[in-house]
Amino acid sequence: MKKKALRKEFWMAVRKSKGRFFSIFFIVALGVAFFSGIRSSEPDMRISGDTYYDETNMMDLKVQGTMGLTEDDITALSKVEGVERVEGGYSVDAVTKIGQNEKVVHIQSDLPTINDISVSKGRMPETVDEILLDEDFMESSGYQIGDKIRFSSGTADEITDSLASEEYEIVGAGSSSCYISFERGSSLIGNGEIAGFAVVLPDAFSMDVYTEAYLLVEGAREETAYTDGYDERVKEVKERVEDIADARCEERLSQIREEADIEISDSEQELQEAREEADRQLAEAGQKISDSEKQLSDGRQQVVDGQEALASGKEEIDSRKGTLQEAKDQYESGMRELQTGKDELDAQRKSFQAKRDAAYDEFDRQEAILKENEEKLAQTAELIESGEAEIAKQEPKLEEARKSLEEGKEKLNAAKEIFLKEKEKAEAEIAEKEQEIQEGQEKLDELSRQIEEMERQIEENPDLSDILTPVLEDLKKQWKEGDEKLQDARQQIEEAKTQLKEKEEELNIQEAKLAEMEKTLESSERMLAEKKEQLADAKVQYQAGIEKLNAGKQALLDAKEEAEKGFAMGEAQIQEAEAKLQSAETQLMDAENQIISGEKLLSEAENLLAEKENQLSEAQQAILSGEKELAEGKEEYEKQKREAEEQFKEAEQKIADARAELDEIGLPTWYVSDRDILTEYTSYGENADRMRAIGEVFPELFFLVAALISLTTMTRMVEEERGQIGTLKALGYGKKSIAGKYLLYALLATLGGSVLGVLVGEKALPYIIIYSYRIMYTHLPHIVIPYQWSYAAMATAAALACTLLATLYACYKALAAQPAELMRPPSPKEGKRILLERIGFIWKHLSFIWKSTIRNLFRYKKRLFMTLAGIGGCMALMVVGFGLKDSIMCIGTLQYQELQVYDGMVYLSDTITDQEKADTKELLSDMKNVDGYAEADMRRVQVSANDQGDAESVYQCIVRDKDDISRFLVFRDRKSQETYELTDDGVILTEKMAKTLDVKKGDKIYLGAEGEEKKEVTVTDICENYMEHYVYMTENLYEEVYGAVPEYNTLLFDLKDNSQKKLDQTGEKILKQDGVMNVTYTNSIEDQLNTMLKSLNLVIVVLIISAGMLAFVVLYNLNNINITERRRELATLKVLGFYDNEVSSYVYRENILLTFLSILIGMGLGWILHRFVITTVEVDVVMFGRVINWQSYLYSALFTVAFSLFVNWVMYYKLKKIDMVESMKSVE
Amino acid sequence: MESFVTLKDVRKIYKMGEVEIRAADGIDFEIEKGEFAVVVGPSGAGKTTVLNILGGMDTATSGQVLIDGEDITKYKPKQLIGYRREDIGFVFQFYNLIPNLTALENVELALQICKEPLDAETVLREVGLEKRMKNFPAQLSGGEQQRVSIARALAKNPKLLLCDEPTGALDYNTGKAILKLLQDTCREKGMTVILITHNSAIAPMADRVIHIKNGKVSKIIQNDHPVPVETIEW
Repeated sequence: MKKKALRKEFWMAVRKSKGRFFSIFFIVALGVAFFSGIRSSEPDMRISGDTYYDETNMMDLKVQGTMGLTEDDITALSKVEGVERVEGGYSVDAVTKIGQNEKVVHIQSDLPTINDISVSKGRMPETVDEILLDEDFMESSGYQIGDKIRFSSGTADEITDSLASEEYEIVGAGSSSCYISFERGSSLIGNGEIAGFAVVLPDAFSMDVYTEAYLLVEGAREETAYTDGYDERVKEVKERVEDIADARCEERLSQIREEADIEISDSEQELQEAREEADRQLAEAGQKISDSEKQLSDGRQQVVDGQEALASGKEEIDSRKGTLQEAKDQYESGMRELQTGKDELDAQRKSFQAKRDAAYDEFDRQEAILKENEEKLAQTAELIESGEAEIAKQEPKLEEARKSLEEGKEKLNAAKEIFLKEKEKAEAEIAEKEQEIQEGQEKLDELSRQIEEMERQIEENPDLSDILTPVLEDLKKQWKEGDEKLQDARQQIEEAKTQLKEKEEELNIQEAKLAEMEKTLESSERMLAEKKEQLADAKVQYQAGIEKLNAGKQALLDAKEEAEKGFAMGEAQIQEAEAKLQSAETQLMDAENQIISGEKLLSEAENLLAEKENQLSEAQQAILSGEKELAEGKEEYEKQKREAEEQFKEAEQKIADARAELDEIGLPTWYVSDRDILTEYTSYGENADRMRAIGEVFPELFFLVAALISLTTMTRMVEEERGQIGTLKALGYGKKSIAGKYLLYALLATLGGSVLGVLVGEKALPYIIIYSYRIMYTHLPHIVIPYQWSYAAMATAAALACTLLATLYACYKALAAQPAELMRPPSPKEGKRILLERIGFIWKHLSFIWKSTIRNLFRYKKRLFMTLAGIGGCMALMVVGFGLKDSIMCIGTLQYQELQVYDGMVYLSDTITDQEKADTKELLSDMKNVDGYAEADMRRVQVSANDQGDAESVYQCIVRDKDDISRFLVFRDRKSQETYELTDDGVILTEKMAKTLDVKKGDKIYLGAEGEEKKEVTVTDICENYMEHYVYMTENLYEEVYGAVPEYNTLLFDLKDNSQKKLDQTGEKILKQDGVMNVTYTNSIEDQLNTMLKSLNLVIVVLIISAGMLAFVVLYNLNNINITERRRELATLKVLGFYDNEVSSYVYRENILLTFLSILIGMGLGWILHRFVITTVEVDVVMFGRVINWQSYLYSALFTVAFSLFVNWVMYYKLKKIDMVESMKSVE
Repeated sequence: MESFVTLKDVRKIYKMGEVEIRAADGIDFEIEKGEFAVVVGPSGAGKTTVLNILGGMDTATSGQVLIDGEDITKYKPKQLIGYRREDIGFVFQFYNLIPNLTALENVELALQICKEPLDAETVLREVGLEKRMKNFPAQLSGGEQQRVSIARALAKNPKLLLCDEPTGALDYNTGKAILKLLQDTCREKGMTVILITHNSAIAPMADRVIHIKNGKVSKIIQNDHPVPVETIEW
């Protein structure tokens, strides 16, 4: 722990510069993950495959003999050194019908321990009539477990030659390690394409020798498939097996010869027996023919008799029919009359009824009115009666009243008289009294004058008063008394007058009362009189009413009587008519019954006649057929006789031939093959190789960028800490300790990143890649992804080497310098004129700011190249990713919409007759939806560039009408798009095959079916093509080269409306034609192809995402460095008064320029890389497109720009945070 | 007459957790227009804080800074940038030239953002660099670089020229020459110059010397007869 301080400083440095540490960490992680991940994918793919192969005991070698393999052969094979196990098996290709299509199925026997089947549904077959089907085939054909499947041989032979029965019950579905994808190989029967395999028990085969033997090689299991180790181990044993082949074949030949000899002599024996039998049969047949002739002539006579009888019977019936018809006519006219009679009667009845009903209604109405009148009259009578009663009641009362009035009057008159008398008396009394009063008054007045006289005397003689006074007093007293008496008298008069008046008034009142009473009485009397008058009137009216009523009643009764009489008469008439009709009907009924019975009789007679006739014609027919049969029989007899002769001759010939053949028979051959005969096994291996090709390009680029980033970052770190290094040096620390810090820093970041990269990358990437390949290799069950330590180590070592070397390089300069120098600021980078400045006219036109930007770019050259490499590299990766997608996805469209422009293809059977072929063509030209068709002969042949060299498989397509073919096939140059014509001078070869064979226009190629002599032809043109390989030639050329007429086995057709529905309809119609084996549609092939190619999509997405991530890290890192390095410069700008956005744009301008430059570079680089990658990843039979769509460039550029923008956005905040005080600091 | 630059009780307090650091603790001084002022003080006295506040690079915690009557302590960040842009010329100790621009371009860089700049070439000629205009900073000596820096500040035609230890990184003679240039500029153009230094020997050449100690103004000397730079020695 002697450098504890230094160590502490180290950890602080790591912690303080997390951004830098992690940028190295992640860039290394990315690089390592990508490198080791993609690299590991290749071995991982192999291991995944191998695991499955081992698990299912997949065969290492396969031996096939042209004449089969016997038990002895098997034993011999098992004795070969290095062979672990041998099992013999049978197999045969057979044809089965799925709807209208014929499909070829490869039926093989279940091997005890080799090529195990993975059963996915149901179980393995357990009895001889059970079968297990390929699960893919099950799915495409629609068979279910429990269904029966029938096979035919597809050739002239019977299927039972090789299989015990024709029909099997499906008990299971499964897959085989021999078939991990869609391909099942080819066959010589049907359309040549095996649609699926099937497994049955060995006993289900009726062959007596094995068709093939499967071998496991000792020690091969321990090796991984596709590796050299495995290949060598198998090759060794294969050679040993081939060594024993000849001996075994000879053995087999002699065995066959022996068997054949026996068979031939057996045949001769059989022939002799057959001949004798035939003679006997012919004699019998002759006898039969003459018997038949006699029977026929008898029959003919009988028929003639019958016909005569029949004719007479018919005549009789016809005359009877005439009579019956007349009767019927009569009956019908009677019937019609009856009907009219009935109708009339009904009408009459109805009108009569109506009339009667109307009359009765009228009567009812009249009666109702009468009744009403009567009621009214009754009411009037009542009223009159009550009126009379009232009057009677009133009259006595009035009488009484008058009487009392009269009495009153009398009383009053009497009272008046009395009163008048009394009045007179009273008035006389009053006048008397008044006289008295008058006298009294005069006395009084005299007294008063005496008084007054005395009083005046008194006054004149007061002295006398005393004397006179008593007198006066007395006088006065007298006066008083007289006055009082007068007063009383007056009062008495007054009272009497009043009494008189009262009495008068009383009389007057009574008089008035009486007058009033008289008045009321008079009015009552008047009213009564009026009433009486009214009553008298009413009585008169009532009387008249009653009379009228009675007259009405009488009239009504009369009318009723008369009407009823009329009605009774009408009814009687109607009844009479009805009775008449009734009798007419009864008559008609009788007539009908007679007619019916007549008809019945007649039809019975007719039936009888018809029956007879039938019998007769049958008899005639029988005679005719008898005659025909007889003629045929005779002919047949002759023919049989001839045929028998011929057959015997033939048989004799055959026996002779067989003998000749037996002498000629050649040595059988053995074909010993390894797993390479399994196309899919090989193609999977090739895919793994292709993965390696990708792994060699992509990760390197990735890694390069990562290394560059680490270099810049570490250099920057050392430069930043220059002063510190100087100080440490000055303090006396050794170079090792100082450099150690940086090395350790880099080591730690790199190791950490590597570990993460390996852990994630080596699991995730191979998984994704194998997973996506499994879309194509559907039956590969396992994804085995062990860590590939070698790649991990390689990647880590490379990463370490890169970063450590970069660090050392960065340290080296610093450590070499003197401490004093280190502590001084580094001599600033010189500003330099750049090349562009010398091109005056451009430079002058640049604004000042751009000048500075461009100079800046060139000032930091390292950063410039880093950025260009980094971003350009990422851009290139993205372009490749998108471009791969373009190239792969385009081929379906190009191939099936631009090159092979026909809509479908009809495969004709090999055994099609000329007539059937002509019919099919006619059908095609008759169908409305078919635009046209072309005849071609399509066969697989071998092609090579010289007559010895490696042969490649190619479709040879012979075109009947070379001028018309351009409607169906387009031959053109991929680059120039120039179209070619097919001529008789030579063939047109497809591009990929031309490249594989390395032939150019005008070169010769060699064509020929496998095992046949190769013919030389000239390549006139090379055409664009993506799927499969083709060599196109004209009919004439074919005849010239092969010396034979081509047998056209294919019809290409084009539809007017190529919607799926129309396609299916058309296809179905064509398939019904005899001799048509199969119809395929371009559409469906295209779809299938696109589905398959999608498996590569995921790989591409991985590429794009990784590239994007890389671009991001690179951009961020470089920007970060850029800003840190120029912190002081930027702070100065801020002090000078630049706004934040001006400061940012000062930096961004460089970034934008760099990004655009990088994009341009990336496009170019991407184009080159894409070219390389596309050619390495191609499958043999496929050519990928070479073109990257402009959209792909656009997307990649947009992604790059987006990353750049995002990073710039993050940087904006970093820029904002730069402190102006930085500008004050001394230069470090 | 109102002074051109006035600082009233300017304080700048940094809080470092619990501790308060008073970088400026109530600074008051005034400078007249056209004066050559020198702010002197030992390291850590608060010179740089004053300069930062005057230059609009930092804001005072409290107090008033009046420049030509405007109180810049109330400015928002954006206004402060505008203030730096238009009103202030800054001369750095380490020149702070943009390395990949020529002398002329460095001056032009500053002019780009000004409203009424002077002609770059003229200014460069004035500071005596007529022959070196096309040279990059790395091709210039320290004194020449500082001249470019001064030219860059002057060309903006600022109200105030702030110089942060302009001679700090220069040798004696060059330093003198630079001081002379600054003094001449002040005299001839009537530019207000504030120079910040720890070297008190420079003081006699100033119109006004402000001594700062412990974040406070310790004394202000008004020098009625400033001496020419040539006569000063240190």
